[in-house]
Amino acid sequence: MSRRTRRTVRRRAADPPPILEGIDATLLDIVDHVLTKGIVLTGDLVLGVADVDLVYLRLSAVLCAADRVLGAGAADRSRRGGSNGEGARRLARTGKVR
Amino acid sequence: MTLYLYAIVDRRPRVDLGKGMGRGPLAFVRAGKVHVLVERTEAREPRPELLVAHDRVVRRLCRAASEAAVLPLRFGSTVPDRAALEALLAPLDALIGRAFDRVRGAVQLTMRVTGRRAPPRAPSREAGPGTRWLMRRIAAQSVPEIEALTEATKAFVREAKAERHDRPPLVASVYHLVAREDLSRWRAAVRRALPELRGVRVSITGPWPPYAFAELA
Repeated sequence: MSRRTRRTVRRRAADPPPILEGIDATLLDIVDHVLTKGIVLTGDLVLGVADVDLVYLRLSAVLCAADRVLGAGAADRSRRGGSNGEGARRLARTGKVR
Repeated sequence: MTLYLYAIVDRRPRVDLGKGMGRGPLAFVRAGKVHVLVERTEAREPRPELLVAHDRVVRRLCRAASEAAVLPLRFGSTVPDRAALEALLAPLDALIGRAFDRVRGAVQLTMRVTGRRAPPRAPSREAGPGTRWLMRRIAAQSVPEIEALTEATKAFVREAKAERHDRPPLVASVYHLVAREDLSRWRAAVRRALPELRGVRVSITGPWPPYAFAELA
């Protein structure tokens, strides 16, 4: 039995769950920290996936496009630079829905 | 070429930090009183491997600059050139100074709370709309499910933040900013408190760079 497996068995038997020593970075944690925390300094910050502005980010790592959050019409206007464009760009900058 | 920004520090470490996520050399750019860790590369799409690479650079910096205050920047921050960076940071001098004071010598511990939610506290019938709004705001940032842990660790927590989530089984994310010298005491307090929690499980990762406490406010 590998060392890692033995540790898992002990962990199951033990209560409470252990504190993870050192860094144990899951991708979920990294997504949460790197994309939704930290300073936002620049107005040029735009996160995008396949040319779609990424505006919605949750701990569950659901990455939604503008049309999922704002509605298809609003997202279309955003992409055309219409009246909702600044709002959508602000969402894209902050990564948060207000 | 565009400067991709990783973090702001009050003192630059005297070590070579290697390469960044674009495989270019990392360098410090002085902007007023602060130094910014940058790489000459374009902004990238947030692919998992790049998010990991960004985080690795920031963590490498934190290890190398353990005496400095480090303010991580969010993934995707870029400026066209050094002049733009200086222009961007100059008006933020006081805010950055306060943020440095907050995070200096401290690390972040992240806790994910899953399990059974505590029943929401109903506002009193006499409460007006303003009071109810404030109570909702407070409730959104409090995690009564881990009250025992919060109490046990408060002597070692410089600052705490909490976010409640509405996607079961995830109840909340809680971030503690802990001075490095208090880390072992914080861990011991958590170990003591965990058996007192009922109906929830707490997954703890860290120490992290102070991502959740880097805001300029």
